[in-house]
Formats: sequence, C-alpha cells, structure tokens
Amino acid sequence: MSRGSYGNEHVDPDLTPMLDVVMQLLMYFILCVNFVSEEVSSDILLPDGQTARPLIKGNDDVLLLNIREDGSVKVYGLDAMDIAKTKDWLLKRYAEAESRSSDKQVHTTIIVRAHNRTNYESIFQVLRICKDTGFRRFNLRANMRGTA
Amino acid sequence: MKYRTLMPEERKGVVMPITPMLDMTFQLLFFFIINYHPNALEGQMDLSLPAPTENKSKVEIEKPLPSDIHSDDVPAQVKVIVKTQQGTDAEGLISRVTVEELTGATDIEVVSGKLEPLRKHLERIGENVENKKAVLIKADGKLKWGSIVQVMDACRKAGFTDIGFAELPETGES
Repeated sequence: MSRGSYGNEHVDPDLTPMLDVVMQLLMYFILCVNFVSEEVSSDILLPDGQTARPLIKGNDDVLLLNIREDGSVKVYGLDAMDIAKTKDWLLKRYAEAESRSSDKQVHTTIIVRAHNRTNYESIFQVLRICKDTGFRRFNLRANMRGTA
Repeated sequence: MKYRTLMPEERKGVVMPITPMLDMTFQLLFFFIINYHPNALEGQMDLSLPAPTENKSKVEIEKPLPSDIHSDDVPAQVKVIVKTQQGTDAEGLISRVTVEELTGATDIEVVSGKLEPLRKHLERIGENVENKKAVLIKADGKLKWGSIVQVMDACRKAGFTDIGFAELPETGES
C-alpha cells in the first residue's frame, strides 16, 4: 500500500509560554535585587574577613548600622548621623525594645557594617555607645573572601 | 459606494507576531543579567557581651576599664597592642604589634601587613594561659578598620574567639 505524500506541514511553535517565563525572569532581575540593596548601604566597602562565617538568619530583632568611611552612621530611612545623634537614636530603640520584650530583657542584635577604610576610633565610639546604651549582642560584617 | 460586509466565515483573526516581542525581551534580559553584579558574600563575626556574672577569673593582666568593650565575665589574659605610624603615608596600616601576657610583652614582626607571626605566637601562648579564648585588642584610633579585622582574623585562627576591644590609647602615646 503506498502512502500518499502528506505534503510539507508548517509547524508553528507556541511562543506564548516562553514569553511568560522570560517576562518572569526579567521582572525578577529588575525588582528583587533592589530590595536588599536599600537597607545595606552600597557605599560601604566591607573588609575581607577570613574567619567570617556565613550569615545565620533567624534573629529578626536586629538593628543595622552602616558606618561610612568618614565615621558617620547611616541607618535605613534616616540621614547620616554623628555620634551624638546615633546615641539618641539608640536610646530610643533600646527603650522600644525593652517595652516590647516580655521579660524586659533586650535581645536585639546590633549589626555593624563598617567601611574598610573607616578609622578604628569611629567604630570604637559606636560600639561603646551601643554598649553604654545597653545592647549586648553585636555582629560585625565582613566579606567572606578567602575564607578558610 | 457600497462597502461589502465580510461574512462571518470570511472574517480573519488578528495574528500578533510574538517573535519580535520575544527578541526584545531577551535583549532586555541579557542587559540586566550582564549588569547584575552580586556583592561578595557577607559573613559575620560575633562579638557577644554577656551580662556580668559573679564568677570572674581572678587571673587577669589588669583591671578592665569600664570603657573597654569586652565580655565582663571572661577577662582576657592576653592583650594585642596594634600601632600605626601616624603622619606618614602608611597611616592606617599596621606598623607594630605587641602581645602582652602574664609573663611579659613580645614584639611581633609584621612584614607587608602579614600577621602570620602573630597567629603563631598566639597559638604558642594559648597553651599556657588559663583563659584560652579571650583576647583584648588595643589599637590606635587612626588604624583602618580593615587592619583591625586582619588582627581579629589572626586571633580567631589562633583559637582566641572571644575578642574584646580595649580603650583607645591616649593621643601621643607611643
């Protein structure tokens, strides 16, 4: 039995689902990256810490302090602050944390992101006022380059 | 002039070419992928200051100052003093490192900012101290934070994981 020729059938691939997926990828790169960079100051060049370990998430009660190269402290949503304003701000945050806490203990972690070229004096002053305010938990951030 | 109305069978659907749209979308996607520069992975180094307790070690180099930043109930027996050359091009970089312990002080040779000798020395003395984890870092205020982190790395590699910061030296103190 001979089969007749079916002729040349033109196949049109359905591009609509492919376009949907590509749009999803595009939206991800446009939107998602910006959310993280807003809280961490992009002008802070962290030092390289060989003994820095991966970030441990889970503690939601944190205060993020970005210390710039000139020693000023930048907090998300506020202008750069000097030491005096930083102390006032920390006192308010401590009072809020203490009032929120069920056992009247403050479990807030201070995350310090300091620029590589900031003078140690500025950072020491910030750490000291944090300690004087009452905060006991600190977390220093560094790049994990060359981690052993 | 009469306009002929198309019968339902003759009406043609609108075919939208998706291929050019897909091409443009890929162009945009490649642009954002190529311009996306992820930052180096951030790590953390903890600095915990627990509340003072009654159990304090009696052996310590000196009475810690209230302005020191360290763990109150684990006074350090080892102190690392880091200095920089002020007023020179090398200001901010480590120029001299001294390690103080109960038996005395030792100058550590620092070449090109490498702190491997510091780590080795701390490992040696770590065996002879009662508090094998706590160390106090006393550094010039003009030192750069990157240099301090290097010193912290050397201390942590040597096993001294409880790092505290001593009061800044007086201005002009050598």
